Amino acid sequence: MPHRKKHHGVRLRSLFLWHRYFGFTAAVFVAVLALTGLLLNHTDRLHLAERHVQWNALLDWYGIAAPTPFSYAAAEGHVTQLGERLYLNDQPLPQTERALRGVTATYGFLIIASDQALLAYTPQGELVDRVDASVGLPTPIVALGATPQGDIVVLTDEDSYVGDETLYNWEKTPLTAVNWAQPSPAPESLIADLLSNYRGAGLSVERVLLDLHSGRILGPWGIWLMDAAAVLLLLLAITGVWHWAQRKRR
Amino acid sequence: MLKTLTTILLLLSASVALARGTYQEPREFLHQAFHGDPPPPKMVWLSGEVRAATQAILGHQPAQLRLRYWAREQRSAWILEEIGKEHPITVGVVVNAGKLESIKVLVFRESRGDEVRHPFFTEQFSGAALTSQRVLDRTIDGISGATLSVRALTKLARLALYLHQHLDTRHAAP
Repeated sequence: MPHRKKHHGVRLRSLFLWHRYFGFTAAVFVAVLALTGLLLNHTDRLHLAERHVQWNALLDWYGIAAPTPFSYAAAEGHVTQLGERLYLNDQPLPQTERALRGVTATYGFLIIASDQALLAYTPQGELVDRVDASVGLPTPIVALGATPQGDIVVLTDEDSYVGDETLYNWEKTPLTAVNWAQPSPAPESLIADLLSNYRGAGLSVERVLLDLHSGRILGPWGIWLMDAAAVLLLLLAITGVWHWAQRKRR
Repeated sequence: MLKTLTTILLLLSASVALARGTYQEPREFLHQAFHGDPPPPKMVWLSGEVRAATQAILGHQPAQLRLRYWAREQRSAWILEEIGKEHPITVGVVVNAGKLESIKVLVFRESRGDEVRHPFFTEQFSGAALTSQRVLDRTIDGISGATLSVRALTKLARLALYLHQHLDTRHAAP
């Protein structure tokens, strides 16, 4: 009988030790899960989807790289393309276009040409119109220019065309005396700001929290790690209940 | 079990991919609307009262300061865009003598809700007119799972009818 009692005591102590180890190990995961879970429950209130990460190390971890910037100079400043995003100086424009082909100021508009469309803006940066092939714009545009009289000219693979102030009517024109828009590098400080903005806009705080919560932030192994943490929590509950039951029996 | 799950996942991903697409090029739409001979485009500036009315119909500031249209006799065609949930839906609308003749989804960029491009939905708009409150004179039945796309198309139908009406008034003015 005393031998059984002693054996029971050793087993209980061992159970208690395991429960403690599980508890210590699980504590880190519980903290991460609880904190991220709490924040994610209030995503809308905290605007987590609209907040963006600006921490370079984390952006590097996610592999978010910025494409090579491409700029044209205009009276209003620089128009820069990063990926499909367009910026007028440091302000992102809501329109996205595939390939920037040139910028010119004419008819009172700032006109930005992509390979498929012309975007006409007021000098204040308000979009007046987006003109594409549906209104007769010759495409794909290779280059954008202006005549000495200020008329807009687009060059396609086949011909060059002069447009009127509506940007809806185009006529073939000979390639003489056209001032073609030339790329012009934007100041380095502006490019640095744009690259930071571009990279930051690619990663929301909500995404990071979701990935922390699920373990995906560590890649495929992170998911297994969080699975292990879930099993650990389960074991913690089982050993806890068991320990409590054993002590009660004693 | 695994096979069934894989099939379901494949079908789901395929349906998302299929939702997005260009269903008709704007140029083709105009050719169809004007029987192969579209008139030259014209423009309407969204300023003053027109801008205020446009904003009231869309529920937000219009994205651009002018819109283009094609008109001949009593008919006008409009190529308009409105964001469904996250991306713009490009829609072609034909208005004839103040009544909506046809509405068609030309480019759908959202991942869900493309049911609005089907005739069973768009035919509900045929013959619709605008009331004095600038709403449609009929109820448009929604589609579950495509509420935002339905809302976007309804707004664009109202906008095309309003702008057509505005042009009519402008032309009728002495």
